[in-house]
Amino acid sequence: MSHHLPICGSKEEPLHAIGARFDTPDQLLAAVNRLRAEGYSAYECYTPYPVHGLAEVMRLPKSLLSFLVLGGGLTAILIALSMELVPSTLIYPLVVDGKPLNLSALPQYVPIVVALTLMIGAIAAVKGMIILGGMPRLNNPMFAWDLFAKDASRGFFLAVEADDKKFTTAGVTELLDQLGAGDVTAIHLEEESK
Amino acid sequence: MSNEQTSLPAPETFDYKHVGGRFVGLCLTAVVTLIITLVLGLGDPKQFAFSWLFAGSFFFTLLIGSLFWVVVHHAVDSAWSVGIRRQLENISCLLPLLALLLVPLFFVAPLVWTWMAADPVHDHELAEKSAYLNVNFFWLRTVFYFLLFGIVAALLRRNSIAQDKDGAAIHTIRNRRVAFFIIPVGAIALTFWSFDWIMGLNIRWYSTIFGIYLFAGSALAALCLIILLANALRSAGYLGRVLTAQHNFAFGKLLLAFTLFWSWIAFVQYMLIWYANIPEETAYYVLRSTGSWKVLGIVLVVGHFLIPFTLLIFRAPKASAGFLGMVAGWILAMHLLDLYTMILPVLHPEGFDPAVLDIAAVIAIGSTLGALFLKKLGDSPLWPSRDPRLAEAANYND
Repeated sequence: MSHHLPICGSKEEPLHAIGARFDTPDQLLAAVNRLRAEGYSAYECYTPYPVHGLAEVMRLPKSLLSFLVLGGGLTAILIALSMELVPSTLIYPLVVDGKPLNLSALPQYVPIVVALTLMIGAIAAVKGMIILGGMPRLNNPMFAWDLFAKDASRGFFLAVEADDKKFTTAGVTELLDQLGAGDVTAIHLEEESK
Repeated sequence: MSNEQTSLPAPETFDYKHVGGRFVGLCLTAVVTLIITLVLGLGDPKQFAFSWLFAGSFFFTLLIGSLFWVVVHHAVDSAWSVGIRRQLENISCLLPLLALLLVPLFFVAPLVWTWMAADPVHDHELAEKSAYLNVNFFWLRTVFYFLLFGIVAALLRRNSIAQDKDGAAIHTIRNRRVAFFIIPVGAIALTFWSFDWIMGLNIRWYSTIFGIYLFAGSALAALCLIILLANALRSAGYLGRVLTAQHNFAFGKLLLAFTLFWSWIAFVQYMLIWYANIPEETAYYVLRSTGSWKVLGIVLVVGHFLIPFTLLIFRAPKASAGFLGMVAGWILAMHLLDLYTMILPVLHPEGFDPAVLDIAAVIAIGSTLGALFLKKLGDSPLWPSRDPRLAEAANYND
């Protein structure tokens, strides 16, 4: 069935996905819509830039990232305030320049609070993005596909993964052909180097 | 994108049937409040001078803020804001009328800017500053500010309207050049305007960040005004094709950003003065944090920063025009309070003392400007109908 499909990766290894390339983001959006309508759920899109509406079409859930950043920011506020207030008002009350120790002295603590909130919030955002994105990851089976690995900005790529419940090579190939996809390729896993 | 519409939205022109009697009402309000202000002002010229300065400064910041958004639109070649640009142009072109309304200040100037009445011979500090702070140079600068901003606003609007007729891209390029010119010049001019008109209420006090503080408030307040105006026009059935829920997101994000910007600048000014604790600098905040003025200061911190910040930080409500309009109205009121606490404590150092004149002056200037704005509204299409980026603006996706 899949004899006419170009194959990359190692033929002896299991099939990972069927990859396809589209020329325009609109085609990709249409393809994802169709895949969803047909009941596929395990697919991934690879685009050279963020495509408006793609996340909505793929029904991606809201990212956890904003909660991570909020948590990081609130932690930072607590750390900064306790590190400033506990030593300089409780352990060793520090009176400089006749400044009071009560609430009206709050302004002097704000710059540290803001700076630490920004820093930990930013770290939470970057590290959260890396971890939620599944990185660090040394290899992706998609890299077996030369066209994709050499220049992923050449088009809008779609990979229908083989572990999808509805997946049949013939069915997916036919569907992708109907959708006007180019370079439909069967991507097998690569041999592990020993 | 997939739902892109290639046809340009057909130009809309404002139909006065939506205004009905409101235009006449506005004119009547203007006349009545102007008379009230005049009568009360003759009885208490000092209160009149401060109230008029307060109201005039409030509307000046709104108009300058609108001009800022037009300028920044051209300077960065922005697409999303094409739909609201004509209204921003209309607002900023009210500057000549505002200048005219502020003429009475010329006659009561020594009552607000008391240094004008002081004699440099007996006032060493004034003598030291007299190369800059003298009556002739002050009025020369004032005329310069209004001429500069007025001419730039008129130029930007004229090119924009010329483009409605011939659709030539050269008008966009000309406006970009004007924008590049006015950004540095206007920043300096606005800074000195704030020094002259508001910091000059007490010539012994100075804060180098004051111009930025005022600018932050102006840009934020003008953004609020345009959100309210966009909501009003949309509920009258206009702008639907060029302002969508996606534009609401853009408004919401800018509102949050400028709320933070204002808060940070306000805090920086306060913190540095509070921390350095130099008497001539702290005088400004000592006055505004004693007695009942302290309450207004706290209201400002809570109302101008904490409340809008908390409301605007969530993503989903920002798509709603109603929600944005509510927040915008609130921030606009807070901007009014901000200017009130800049100017009026100089007149009433003993504590918060609201006067009928304060309210009457705001209504008088506001309704006069509003009436002229309504008159201008129908003169031209509601958005730049042949702007090169109009299609992009209509299909803007946040």
